Amino acid sequence: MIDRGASEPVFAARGLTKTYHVGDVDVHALRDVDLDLWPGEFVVLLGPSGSGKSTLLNILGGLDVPTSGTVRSLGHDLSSMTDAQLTMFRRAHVGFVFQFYNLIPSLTALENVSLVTEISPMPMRPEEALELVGLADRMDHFPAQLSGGEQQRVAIARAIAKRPSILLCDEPTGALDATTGVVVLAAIERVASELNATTAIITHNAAIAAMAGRVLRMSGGRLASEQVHEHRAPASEITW
Amino acid sequence: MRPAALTRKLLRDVRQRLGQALAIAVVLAAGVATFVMSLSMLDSLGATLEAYYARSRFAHVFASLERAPGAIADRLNDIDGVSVVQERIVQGVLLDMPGLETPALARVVSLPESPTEGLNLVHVRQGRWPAPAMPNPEVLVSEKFAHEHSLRPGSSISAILNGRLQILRVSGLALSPEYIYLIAPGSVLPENERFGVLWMPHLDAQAAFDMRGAFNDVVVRLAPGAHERDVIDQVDRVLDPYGSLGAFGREDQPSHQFVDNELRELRGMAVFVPVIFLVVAAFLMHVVFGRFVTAQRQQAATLKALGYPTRAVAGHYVAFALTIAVAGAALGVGLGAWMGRGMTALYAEYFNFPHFGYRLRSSIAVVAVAVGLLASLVGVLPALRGILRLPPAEAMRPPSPPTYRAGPLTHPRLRRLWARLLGPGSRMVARSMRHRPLKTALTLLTLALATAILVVAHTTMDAVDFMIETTFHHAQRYDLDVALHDHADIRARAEVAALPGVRAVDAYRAVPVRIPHANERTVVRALQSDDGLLRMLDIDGRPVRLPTGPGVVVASSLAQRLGAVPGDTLRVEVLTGRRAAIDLPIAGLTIDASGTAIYARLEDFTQAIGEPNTLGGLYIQCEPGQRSQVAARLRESPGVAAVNDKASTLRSFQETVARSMGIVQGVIALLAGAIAVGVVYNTASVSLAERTRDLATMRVIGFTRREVALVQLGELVLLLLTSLPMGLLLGVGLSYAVHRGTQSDLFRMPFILQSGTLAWSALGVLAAGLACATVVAARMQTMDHMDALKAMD
Repeated sequence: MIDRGASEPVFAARGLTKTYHVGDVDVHALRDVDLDLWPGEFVVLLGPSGSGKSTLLNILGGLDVPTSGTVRSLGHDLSSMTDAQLTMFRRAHVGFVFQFYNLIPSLTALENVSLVTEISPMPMRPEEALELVGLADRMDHFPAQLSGGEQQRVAIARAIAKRPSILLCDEPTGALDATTGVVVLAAIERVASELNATTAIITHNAAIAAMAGRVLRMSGGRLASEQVHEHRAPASEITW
Repeated sequence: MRPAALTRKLLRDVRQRLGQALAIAVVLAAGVATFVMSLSMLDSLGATLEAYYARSRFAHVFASLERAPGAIADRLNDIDGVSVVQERIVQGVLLDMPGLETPALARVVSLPESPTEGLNLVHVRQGRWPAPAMPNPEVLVSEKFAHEHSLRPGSSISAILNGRLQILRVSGLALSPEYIYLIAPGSVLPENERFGVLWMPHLDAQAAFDMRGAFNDVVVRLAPGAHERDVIDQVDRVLDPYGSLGAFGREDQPSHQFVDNELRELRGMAVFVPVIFLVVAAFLMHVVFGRFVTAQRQQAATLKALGYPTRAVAGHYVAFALTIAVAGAALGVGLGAWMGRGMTALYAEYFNFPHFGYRLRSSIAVVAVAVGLLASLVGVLPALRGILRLPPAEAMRPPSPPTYRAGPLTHPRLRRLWARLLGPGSRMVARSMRHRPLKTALTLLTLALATAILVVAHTTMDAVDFMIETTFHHAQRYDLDVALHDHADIRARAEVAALPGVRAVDAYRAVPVRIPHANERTVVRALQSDDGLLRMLDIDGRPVRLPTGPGVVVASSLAQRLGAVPGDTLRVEVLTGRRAAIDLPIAGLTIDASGTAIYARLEDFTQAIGEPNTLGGLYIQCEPGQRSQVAARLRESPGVAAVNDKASTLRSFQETVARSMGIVQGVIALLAGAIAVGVVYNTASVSLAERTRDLATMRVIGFTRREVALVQLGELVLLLLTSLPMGLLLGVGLSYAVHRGTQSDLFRMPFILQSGTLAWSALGVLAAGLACATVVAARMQTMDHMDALKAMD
C-alpha cells in the first residue's frame, strides 16, 4: 500500500543535474530534478528518448552518480557513495529489469536467478522467484531455449529474488510484442504487490501509464508533469 | 575489382584493431624471423666454412706417424686419387707461460717456406710470416692462445723442445682451418688458455726435433672424384711400417668434428623453434579473427544485403587477415635477415673464421613468407566459414543468445546440486569452455607448448649438470692427470706417491687403437685400479668393475655405434709399439662424456698386446690445498710430459659447452615466456570482449568488481592449470626427442629428468600467465559497466 507522509520516502532526490561530455558538446541529461518516491509506490516514467528518464533511473539505482544534487535512499546518500558502497547498495536493495533481458547465456534460468540469491542477504529460493513469474516448468532451460517474453520473466525473477525494496525496469516491454508485453507487465505487477516494492518503470509507451499509481512525464531533462491515478488499471486490461 | 569504399573499410578496420593486429603480426614475425635467421645462418655458416676450407686448401686425409724418411712422401703422391701431399713435422711441446701454475701444452706444426704453398694454409692475422734459421726460432701463434696470454708480434715464449729449453720469438698471430677449435690431444674440449699451436718454419722444426730429412705427419688433399676410404687404406699401407697411428678423414679431424657438431645442434633449433612460433601465430590469428568476424556480423550481412556477392565479402575479410599476415611476414624476413647476419657474425667470430659472408637465399625468404601466410590462413578459415554461411536477413537482427548445453549430468536434481557446489562463476567458465571445445583445446595446446619449451630448456641444462657431476666429481676422483714421457717404469708410481702433498696415485696407460670393422679410432685406457681415482659408472651412477682377465668396459655410446653389447667380442688394432691385433670381450658398459673410450685392466691389457707393463700416465689425488705445489713439483720432473689440472678442464668445459647451452636455454625461456604471455593475453582480451555484457550485467545486479574479476580470471587460471600437466608431458616427450636429435659423437648424455625441472617450468608459465591476468584485471577495473551494457555488438 502506498504510504505517503507517514514515513520517509524511499528516494528523495533534490536538485539532480547530470551533464555528459560527448566530444566537444555538453549534454545536459538532467536539469535540476526534485523527486520523492514512496514505499510501495508504482510509478511510470514517461518520456521520449533523450528526455533523461534512463539517466534518472540509473542514478536512483546506484549505477551512476549525479553531477550535482543529492539522492537519499533508505538512509544512504547515494550521491556521495563510493563505487564499492553503491555495489553493496544495489546488491541489497535494488532489482533491475532491462529492455534486452541481459541474461547470462551460459547459465540456465534457475542459475541466472541463483546468481542473485547467492550474494543477497535475505533472498527467496530461486525456484520460488521463478514460480512467481510463472516459469516453474522452464527452470532448467538456457536463455537460447526460451522465448523473448520468457527470458524477460526470468530477468524479473532474477530482479525480485533478493526481495528488493526497489524494482527498477528500463523499457521492460521494449523488445516484446503486445501480448507478450502484457504477460511481462502482469508479472511485474504481481511481484511488486507481493513484495510491496517501490516500482519504477520507464517507457515511452503511454499505454503502460494506466497501471501506475503515479505518472511522471519527463522532457528535456526536467520533470514536466505529474499525474496521480486514483484507480490503477490491472496489467491485463492494457493494450497497445 | 575492389570497390574503393570496401578498401577504405579494410584500412580503417585494421587501424581500429591496430593493437591486436600488431600482436598477431609480431608473433608471426617472430616465427618467420627465427625461420629466416636459423636457415640463413646455417646456410651462410656452411658456405663460409666451405669457402674457408677451399681457399685455405684444407686437407681431406690426415695421418701422424713416428718417423718416415722424406722419400716416402713421393710414394704417397703416387696413390690414385691423391692430388697434393704435404709432409710435416708435428710435435707436442710444453710452454712455460707466466701466470699458469702448470706448463701449457702446445703443438708445433712445421710450415712451408711461403704462405701460399702446401695445404691447410695458415692465415696471418697480425705480424708476418716467420723467417727461418733465426737465433731465436720465429713462430706464428694461434690467435686465441695468443690473446689468452697477451702475446703480440715480438713477444717471447719459453718452450721445452725435445727436452731443451728454448726461447721462441712470436712473428705473428695466425688462424688455420685445421685448428678452428684448438683441442688438445686426449681432450674433447677446447682449452684456449692451456693449449695452443705454434707454426714454425720447416727447417727450424727439423733442427729442433732431430728430424732432418724426415717427417712425422702428413696431410693429403684428394683429387676430384677420389674415394676417401680407398686413399686412407693406401696411405695406411704405405705408412704402417713407420709407426702410423692410422690415417683418417675430415669427419675424424677433431676441429672439424667439433664445428660440425655445433652446426648440427643449431640445425635442431632451426626447425623446432619456428614451428612452435608459427603454430602459436596461427592460433592467435584464429582467436582474434574469430572475434573480429563475430563483431562484424551485421556489417557483413549489410554488405550482402546491399548486393555484394558472398565471395566479395569473404574476400574482404581474407584481405583483412592477409594485410596483417603480409605485414608480419615482411617484418619477419627483415628481422630474420638482420638477426641472421648478426648471429652469423657472432658464430664466425666464435669459430674464428678469417672471413665470413652472410647470404639470405631468396628461396629461404619465399618459403618463410609462404609458411607464415599459410599459418595465418589456417587460423582464419574457420571464422570465414561463418561469414559465408550467413543469410543476410539473419544478421540484421541482434544475435540471439548463443546456445549452451548442460553438462553430462542429465538428472535435474543432480545437476542442481552440482551447480550449487560450483557457484555461478565457475558454471559460466565451465560452460563457455565446453561451448567451444576447439578453441579451448587450441588454447590448452599453445599454453602446453609454452610449458613444454621450458621443460626442454631445463632438461638440457639438467643433462649438462648431470654430466659435470658424474664426470668431474664421481668418475674422476683425481685432481691431476699427469702424462709421462715415453713409457715409464711401473716404479714411477711409487716415487710420485712419496711426494709431499700427494694423497693417492693410480697409474694408467692410454693406447691408441683402431676398430677395423667400423673404421673407428679410439683409445684404450688401461687402468691399474678399476675402483681408484678413475671409476667407470653406469647410467645410474653405480660403479662398473673390470673383470679379471681380458674383458673390457666400453663407453655405451661407442657400443651403440658399433652395435655391440656385453658378451660380444671387439677386435682392435693397436696403433703403437708392436701393433698387435687382439680380441677384447666386452664385459660391461659405462657412460662417458667423450663417449668413445674403452677401459681395460693395465696388467691384463699390456700382456694381451704383448708389451711390457709400463705406464703412460698417473692420476693423482692431492691433500687439500696442495694441488698447485704438487703440480709445480711434477712440472720440474724430466719424465713428465704434461700435467693436466682437472679444475681447469672443468672451467673450460663450463666456459664453452655449459655457457653456450646456457645462452640457448635463456633464449628458449624467453620464447616460452613470450608465447605464454601472447596466448594468455590474447585469450583473456578476447574472452573479456566477448563477455563484457555478461560481466556488466553482473556488476549492475550487485556483484563487486573483485567478484566479477574472479569469474573472468577463473577461466584463465583454469586453462593455465589444465594446460600444465599436458605441457609437462609434452615437454618430457619433446625433451626426449631433442635429446635423441642432438646426440653427437663427441657429447653423449643420458636423458635426465628432475622433478625440480617440472616444478620450475610449471611455475614459469604460471607466473607469466598470472602477470597477464593482472593486466587484464586492471583493464576490467577501468571498464564502465553502463557503457558496456549500452554497447551492443
